[in-house]
Amino acid sequence: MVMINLLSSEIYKLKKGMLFRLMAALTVLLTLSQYGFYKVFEVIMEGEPAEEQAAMMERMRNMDMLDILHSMFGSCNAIIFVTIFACCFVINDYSSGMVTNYVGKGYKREEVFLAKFLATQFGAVMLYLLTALTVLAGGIVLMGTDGLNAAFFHDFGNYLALHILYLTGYTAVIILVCTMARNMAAGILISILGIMLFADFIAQGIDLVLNSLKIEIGISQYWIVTVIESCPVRDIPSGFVTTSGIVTGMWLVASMIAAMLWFEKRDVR
Amino acid sequence: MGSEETREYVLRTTKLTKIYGKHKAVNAVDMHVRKGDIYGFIGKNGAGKSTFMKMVAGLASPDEGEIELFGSHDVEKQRMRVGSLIETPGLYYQMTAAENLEVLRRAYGITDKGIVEQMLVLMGLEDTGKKKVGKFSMGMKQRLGIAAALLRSPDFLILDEPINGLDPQGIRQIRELLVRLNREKNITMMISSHILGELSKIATAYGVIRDGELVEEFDTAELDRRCRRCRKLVVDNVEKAVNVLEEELHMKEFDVPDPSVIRIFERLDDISEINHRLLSAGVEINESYLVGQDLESYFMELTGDDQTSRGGQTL
Repeated sequence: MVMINLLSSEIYKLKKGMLFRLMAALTVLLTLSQYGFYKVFEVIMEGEPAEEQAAMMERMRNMDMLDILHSMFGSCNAIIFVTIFACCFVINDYSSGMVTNYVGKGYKREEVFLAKFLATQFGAVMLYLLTALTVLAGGIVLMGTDGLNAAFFHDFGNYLALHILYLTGYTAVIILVCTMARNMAAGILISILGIMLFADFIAQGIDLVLNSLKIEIGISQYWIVTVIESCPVRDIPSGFVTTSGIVTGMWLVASMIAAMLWFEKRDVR
Repeated sequence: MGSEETREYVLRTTKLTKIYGKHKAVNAVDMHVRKGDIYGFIGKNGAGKSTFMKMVAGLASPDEGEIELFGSHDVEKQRMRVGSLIETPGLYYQMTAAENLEVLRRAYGITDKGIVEQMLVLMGLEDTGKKKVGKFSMGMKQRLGIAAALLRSPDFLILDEPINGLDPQGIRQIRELLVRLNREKNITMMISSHILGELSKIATAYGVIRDGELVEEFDTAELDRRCRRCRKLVVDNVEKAVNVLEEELHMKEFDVPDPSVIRIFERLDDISEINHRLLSAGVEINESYLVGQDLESYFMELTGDDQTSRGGQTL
């Protein structure tokens, strides 16, 4: 019952706060801008030689909504907004002191943490679903309904489902960072620079070092951001699904437990 | 309220200690807050007031010692009956007052939706409408913070510097509100403040913390007695002196705080007669002087904030 009450409170915050609405609006805008690039490109190509124009138009013609979705998920565009949302949503409770209202009321800390964790995950998934919906709606308006067949929806559904799965692992890592940082600037900075960008490079760097030592372990493939980036758009191999699912589960559980332990042990200021 | 002995404790701590690095922020504090009290918690900045309150509220974990709330060691469960406002109020500045309270109403599982409006009325915030908390004055934020602390009808309220930064009107509003809550709803309170004159207007008991240690606990009657203007006599034979005061001078208003000290609270301008009778009875008077302090000076002396007034203001 306590968890339900806490979750109800967290969902109310999502609904009433500006943060989620702002991130949702930005996500929609960025998604639509992908279609905008597509249209702008068509205009630019108009002045080019006929052969080049034909080749490029051919490539453009082969693009479908799944490619647009891939540019949002696979290229980590949408995840920037998820990162900012998760950081602000988690850290705001510390910077505003709101967390003291829960902890000081005798609620178990793990319950307080889990409610926040689940609500953040819920918000992140909502942003992803909104992205997918915008891709579909924008695609129907700008590209038409050609190609919207069972095979498309199968691929679209699989790709979306997998990325939502990866998202939960990624969001858990961000929640861990923010629970530890408890400072808005530091949390966002570490999440965007550290988790989204540099961790990938570091993992690849470790791969190079290990390869030079003739140790054939690709550390980087076990990093959640690498999994997100390397997910194929179509014909996803079952082996990849299994491996990426395990990697995601590992990051999800490990980050959640680490963040919960940290939250339980630390004083609330 | 009942006598001091029979009133139950709302809060009792035993050797409560918090250590940050090598520094003991709170050092073996034994505190006693009785039901119905407004307990004034006094200490200068950095003395350990907030740290102590955070431990009681569950925001910081003690390194040593025990906390007993409402006579129970199941502190986590008993904290459901505690409301707290420690340091700054925990509020979302981008939300309205009603939205902030609604967030908490849902979290606390309070089914009565009308309680939000009731609290806003109680705190005089019912006209804030869509104004975001970020645009509230300090006093309004404090009142909303207290509303948040009161939302679950607590039996014990912990308030850390609730009048900090308020203008005189705001201070008076909060003071009147707290007294009303204490009297009408029988809410026991622990209030820390460095505005000692204000605290003395509402507190019924006091605890003084200095460098992390609770140096004294006393009630209002004791405080009045200590701050009352009196003549202090340092004599060689207290028993004989007391006998003279009682039998020959028929005096009743005096006490013996130390083995060689008598404090006389009556006939302060009649010192020549008192001295004469004592000397005639063979009592040697080593010192005789008038002592009197206002509350502020006395508190400052206790908290170690006023080195010059240590030992009292000699008149």
